[in-house]
This record gives sequence, C-alpha cells and structure tokens, in this order.
Amino acid sequence: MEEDQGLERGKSVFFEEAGELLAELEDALLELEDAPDDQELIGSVFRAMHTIKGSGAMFGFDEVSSFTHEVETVFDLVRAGAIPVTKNLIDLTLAARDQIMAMLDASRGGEPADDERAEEITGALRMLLPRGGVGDEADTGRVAGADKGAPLSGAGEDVGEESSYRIRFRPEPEIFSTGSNPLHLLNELSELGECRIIAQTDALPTIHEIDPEACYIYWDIVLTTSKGINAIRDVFIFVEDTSELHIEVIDKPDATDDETETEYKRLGEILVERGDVKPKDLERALESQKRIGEVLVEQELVNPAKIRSALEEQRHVRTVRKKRKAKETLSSIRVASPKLDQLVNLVGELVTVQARLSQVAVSRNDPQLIFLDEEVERLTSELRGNTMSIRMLPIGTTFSKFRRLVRDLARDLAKEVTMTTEGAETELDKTVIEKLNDPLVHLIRNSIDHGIEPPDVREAAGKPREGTVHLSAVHSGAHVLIRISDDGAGIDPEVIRAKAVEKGLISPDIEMSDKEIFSVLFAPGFSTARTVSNVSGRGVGMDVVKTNVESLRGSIDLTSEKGKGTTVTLKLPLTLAIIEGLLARIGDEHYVLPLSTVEECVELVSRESDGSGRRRLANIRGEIIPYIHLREQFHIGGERPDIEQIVVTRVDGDRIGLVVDEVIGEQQTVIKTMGKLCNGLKEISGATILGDGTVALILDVPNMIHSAMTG
Amino acid sequence: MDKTILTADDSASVRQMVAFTLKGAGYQVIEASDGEDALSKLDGSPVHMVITDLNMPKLDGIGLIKRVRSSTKYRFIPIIMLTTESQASKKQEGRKAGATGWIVKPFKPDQLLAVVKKVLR
Amino acid sequence: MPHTMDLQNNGDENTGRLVLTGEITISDARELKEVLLKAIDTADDLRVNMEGVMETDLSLLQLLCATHRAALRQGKQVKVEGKYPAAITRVVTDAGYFRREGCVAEARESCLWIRQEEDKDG
Repeated sequence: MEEDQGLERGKSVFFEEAGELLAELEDALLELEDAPDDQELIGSVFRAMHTIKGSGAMFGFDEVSSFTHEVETVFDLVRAGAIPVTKNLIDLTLAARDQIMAMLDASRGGEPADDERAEEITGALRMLLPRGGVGDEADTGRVAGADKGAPLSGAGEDVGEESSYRIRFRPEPEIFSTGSNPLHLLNELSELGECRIIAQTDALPTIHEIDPEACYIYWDIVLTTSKGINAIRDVFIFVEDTSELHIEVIDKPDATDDETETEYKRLGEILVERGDVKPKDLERALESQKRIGEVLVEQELVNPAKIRSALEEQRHVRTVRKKRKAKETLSSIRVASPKLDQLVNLVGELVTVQARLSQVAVSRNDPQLIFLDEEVERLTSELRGNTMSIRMLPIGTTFSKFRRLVRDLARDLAKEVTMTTEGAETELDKTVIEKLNDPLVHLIRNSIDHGIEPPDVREAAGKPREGTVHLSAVHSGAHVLIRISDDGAGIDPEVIRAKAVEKGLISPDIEMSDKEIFSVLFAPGFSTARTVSNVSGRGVGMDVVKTNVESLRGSIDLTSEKGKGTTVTLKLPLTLAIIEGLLARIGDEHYVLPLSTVEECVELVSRESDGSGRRRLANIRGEIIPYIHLREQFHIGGERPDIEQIVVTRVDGDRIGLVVDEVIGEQQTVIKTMGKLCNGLKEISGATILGDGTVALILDVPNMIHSAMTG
Repeated sequence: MDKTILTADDSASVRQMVAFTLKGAGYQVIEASDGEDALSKLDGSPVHMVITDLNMPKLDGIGLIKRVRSSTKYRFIPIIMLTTESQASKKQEGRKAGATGWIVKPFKPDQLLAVVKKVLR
Repeated sequence: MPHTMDLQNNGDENTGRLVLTGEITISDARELKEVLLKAIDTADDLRVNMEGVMETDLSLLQLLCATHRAALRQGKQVKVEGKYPAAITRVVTDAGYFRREGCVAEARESCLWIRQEEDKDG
C-alpha cells in the first residue's frame, strides 16, 4: 500500500535525520559545558531528544523512543530551570547519545545494543530528578491514551444492531475561530446512518446585535446507526470539551417487542425528556383539549422549532420501526394455525411410528434395518425440534398487551403504577401463551388492586409514589419461569392464617411455614374479593389461576414480604405437545412419567416396611421417602414381581416414590389429550401411543405428589 | 479541487511521512521546517489547512497557531497539531491558541488521513 | 476570496436590493454584517439575490436570519429574490435549516427558508 510506502520512506529518512541530530547534539552538549546557562543550547538539546523520541515512535523504534524519553524528561526540567547543568549531566547525556546511536545501529542490523548500559544511564538520569520524580505530567510514559488519541475509526465498523440516538449539540460560540466547521461535523454524523438534523435558532439575535463570527445555532439530531455510541462521540472528539453535547439512546431493536405497534413516545413526553418543557407546564397544557403542540406554542412555553424537532424525532423513530418490522415480515410467511396444529399431529404420529420401527428393528436384529432405523430416528428428532420451534412465539406480545391494562387499572384505582418487563424475547409454545393470558390478567389485577398502595400511603411508607409491576420471563431447563412481582404492601401471613382458620381450611393449632400459609391462598373457597381485599391480602380467584396454570402442566408459587411486595412465579413447560417421558410397566399396562419430574430409579428390595394403606415409606440411602404402590393404586391384578422398581419423583422440593414392575426406558412422548370421560382422574394427564400401537397413560406426577402430601 | 496543506515539523522524517501520505491522497503539500518557515510559506499560494508539530526551533507550534489565528487571511483555517502524549498541557495550550484538533504521535498514515478528512471535508 | 456584495437603494420607494456573488464564508462575515446592517437600516423592503453565490457556510445563514429578525421587529420586509443556488441549498440542507414553519411565531409567513422545502417537494 502507498501508505506503508510512506512509512518505509520515512524510516530511511529517519536514520539520516537521527544521525544528523545526534551529531548536532554532541556539539551542543560540548558547547553547553562551557556555557551552562545558554538557554538556546539547552533548548536545542531538548528538541533533538524530543524529535528523536517522537519520530522514533512514529516509525516503530519503541526502545529508542522510550529511552530518549528519559533524557527528554530531564532536559524539560533543565529548560524550566529546575535542574542545573552540571558536568555529571553532560557526561550522562553524552553517554545517552552514544547509547541512542548504538540502538539505531542495532535496528539497522548492527551489533545489538547493551541493554544494561541503557538501564545504568536511565537510572543515573532519574537520580537527577527532583524529589517525587517528575515535573509536569511528563511521565505519563508510554500508556497511549486510546481515548484521547486521534479519532481514527473513520467510518468505523458496525458494533451490533441498529439503535437510534437523540443528540443535542451546542458548539461554543467561538467554534469558527478554532477552524472547526460545525457543518462538517453534522455531515460526518449523517454518514453514520439515517439522520435528521434540525437547527435551533432561538439564540440568534438581530443583525444589530450579532457577532458575525460567533455561532448561535445549535442542533437537535436524531440518528439511527449500527456503529455504536463511540463512533458518534468520535465525530465530536475535537469539540466535546468546549461544546454542550448530549447523546441518548432512544430506540433499540428489541424495543418494539414491548410495543404493540410501531408507535413511539408522545410529543409531550419527548419535550419533557429533552428538557425543553417542564413537566408541570406539560400537565397544564394537557388539560386543554387542543393539540398539545399548539397549546405549548400559544402559551409561549416552547418555540415552534423545538416542537418540530420533537415531531421529527417521533417521525424518525416510527419510520425506523416500520422499516424494521417490514424487514422482519419479509423474511417470514403467515400460516393458519390449524395447519400448524396438523403438522404437529403428523410429526407426533411419525414419532410414534418411528418408535415402532425401532422395536421391530431391534427384535429382528437386522443390521441394515437397524441402520435405517437410526437414520429415521435422527431425522424424526430433527423434524420434531423444527416443528416445535415453529410453534414457539416470544412472550413479548402478551406482555405488551398488559401495558394498557396496567394503565387503565391504575387510573381507575387512583394509583400510580408503571409496568416494567424483562425477557420479552423468551419463547413459549403458542398454545401455552394463549392460555396464559387469563391467569396473567388475574395476577396483574391483583398486584395493582391489592398489592400496590395508593400514592400517599406509599409516600408515607418512604416508598416512591409510583409503584412498579414487573413482568419477567426466563428459561429454566425445559421450563419457562414467568414472574409477576410488585413492590406493594405484601401479604401478612398472619392475616391469611387467621382467615383460613376462620374458614375452617386449617386447624388453629397447626404449625405452618409462611410458604405453607401462602399456599392456602390457592385453596378453593379461600377467598372472595371482598373478604380478602378488606384484610389487605389478595386471592381473588387464585384457585382459578392455579387450575389454569396446572392445566398447562405448570405450577405456581407465591412469595411475599410484608411491606416490600409480592412475587408470583409461574413455571410452565416449553411445549405441550411432546415431552420426554420415562416408560414404565405394571403387569401388562404401560405408563409414562414426565422425565422432568423423575429424579432416580432404584430397586425396591425390602418389603419389610411394606405395611398396608396408601402411604408407605422407603429408605433410600438413609433418606426416608414416602411411596405409592401404583399396582394397588390403579387396581391392577396379577402377581407382584420379586423385584420392583421405585421411580423417585420430585416436584418443587417434595419427593415421592412410585412403585412399578419395571422401568423400560426413556421415550419421546406425543401427548394425546383424553376425552371428558377422564376429566375426573387426578393421576392421569393424558395418553400416548406406543411403538407397538398400545396405549400408555401419562401420569400427572405433580398432582399425585400434591394429593399424597395433603392426603 | 486540490486542497493545499502546509505541514510544519523540524523532523524531516515525520514531514516526509506526512507529505507522502497526503500527496498519495491527492492533496498538495507545502513543507516547512519550523514556525517561521511556515509563516513565510503561508504568505504565498493559498493554503487550506495546517498540520504542525509543537516543538520546533525559532517559532514553535503554539506560536505558529497564535500567529495564524491573528492573521486576516487564515483566521478560520483548520490547524491540526502533532503532539506526544507526554504533552497534555501543551495540547491544552494549543487548544487555547486556536488549534482545531490534534493527532497523537506516533500515528499511522490512515489515522492522519482520517483527521484531515474530518476537518477539511 | 473573490466575491461581491452589491447594494442598490431606491430611495423613493424605500426598497433595497442586495446582490451577493462568489465565495462568502466566515472570513467575510464581518463585511457581510456591515452590508446587511446598512441594507436593512436604509430600506423597508429588502430583496436579497444569492443566485451567484458559489461557496458559503453557516455564517451567511445566521446573518440573513438575524437580518430577518431585525426586519420583523421594525415592521420591514426581507425576501429572497430569484433562485437558491446549489451552494446555498447544500448549506441549508447540511445545517438542518429547512423549515416547515418559521423559527419565531411572527416569522411563520416570511421565513427565508420555508420556500426551500416547497421547492424541493415540487
């Protein structure tokens, strides 16, 4: 490259130049010995060192440069009169000069320079420095300040996704006298991306008062770029110390997940954020029914250019969002959801057939068939994963629907509430998301109605007037955790307990942990809105919420701290259609246990503890675990085998063993819902078809544990 | 339109590198070996930008900047100073005297061009 | 830098016409201010012709706006006569100076830069 040629040329000139400088330096030093106060001579020694240092670094001779730096530092102080010229100094500097010469020779392929000698010299030079070392900030050494270096990135590279920025740039009035042209900066800025520039001229005086060489204009800029905020700062690098510069991010790609549409902030909001209008003035202006912009201008609370600038911002962000949306839509197609359901069903059947194929292949022991089966299994599994992912949707759309709910509820109840969200991009099966709507509405309603206190109450309690409802979604293994938390009044366990006792749900003398008490909230018949909201609790139809969530094979959990707030956590399966299951056999019957609930399988050897009744205990490695004998539970006839298996399951910390004849193995299980006939069965959540065509029931393990624990 | 840049530096090697780089990018270059030399060369054909070292004999960089800023012809011309990072206070002084920007030595040719492009457009 | 700032006055009708040509930048700002001062002080109706402006910058826009402001206060008129040359259009665009409405309430009708956008939009 030409530029590198420039460096190479410079390099060869540098050797020549350094040679000359060193020769001059020698002469100057010798003269200085006779005239130690000659400022001119001192200056030329300093300059020679300075040039060698600077140019040396320029062309990559770092050792030369940093060694010379030491001498330069000393002579800078000599120049300032802080160090006298002595014979010692001159001797040392002459030695340094020879050393530099040797170093330069070495870098041109000569004898290597003597490093120890260099250290001796620098050591001795440092002794000359006044106490505390260095004057000035001379010894910032070689830590090149990356930030204050030259603005180098030029056009710069993309540093990720496109964001929009709001920039206000107000140069110092004297900017023209420093040779800067603000229009150049604006041009440079618009090269970074989609850019709207609005000049603000309100500071401009009349021709009689104007200083013709001063800059009165300042700018509002809205910029959408993928180059990052540092690229924007780089544009202003030479003027940022002397200008007013505010840069804010106003839109990011994931921002639209939260918004239902491509809508953006309201005009008033933008003006307040920019500091162009006071919140109070805005409130007052909003009271009149006219267009806010007009009112503000009429009342001279803001000038038209500011309004225009804010409108431009609105327009800009909307356009950017629309474009982004269009881009997203372009790369996708719409499919009617029944088609998708059908696809899932077909894949389900394929999975079933494939399981049969595997069985046949193994039993025939035909290598060719086994090989084919393995191929089919691989493809089926991929197809299944793909199909499932099509059904996955981000939960953000649901979240954003609640904004309106929160806003309206807060207004109706005269409370101040904001909703924040997190993890809007988290994906869940479409069906799960649809069925989640009602429970979430319920829970949010509860948070605002019973959780968040009225503004005055909050203030008195030392909390911000505005309460927060936070919605979050996060993956956790095969589940998604959805949390609804508020910073409201929280729930007093004692109040709940008293209420539950009163209702006869628990007996008064029973010891209960807070967790257990809170679980009473979900008990059917615990609450109606009236009774509970009177005692500050919640529980409006919480049993309904619980039933809903459980129908999605999920679970619900509530924690609360009095005065601090309440968090409800929903744990939901990623998908409803296919699960990983553990296949087990009792007699001729097959059962599937969701693998996510299975902890381990052990043999049940001892029958000594085998009393009668439903609840029995097994000792597994010293731990006592209650177990259920499924053969008995399901009234299956026939002989019990000598060795049975206990499948240890765990849900939310509660463990229970389920005894079966034999554990067959893991199995991809396509869930078929069962008709109304089976609705009353607590232990069964569905059925599946096995490889050989027989039906296996899917056990509802959480429910079984629950009834075992409470029953 | 070819723009003319004056580069003032007492180091011939740095001047050489600057000049070569700028000429390669299509600029006309006038070289000066110190501040006074630079001033006299500014009197000749029109110059659009000045790149100056700070430590120079006769008239140093700060002095040069001040003189240029008080001239009628070049009061608003972009001036870039070449500094080393051990000269933070010098840089401030240069800014006060009216420098447009700076480049920290050592720099690479493309860094130089980026800055020139930035202030000259 | 070669430029002309030619001010013609018609004393009878109190009108003035200022013709600007060539390169008018920050270096010429003082001179331009004096000319504009004189122009607005000596005429009730000022026309500015910039068709011959070859190169300019923000300082010219500022000075013209400032003149316009003074005119509004004194109940006078300032108007741009003829076409906007490329040099002016470029600076007006770069500076984000296009206007849909005037910068101050009274300038809604008469802002010097509103026409720009109408021209552009067709």
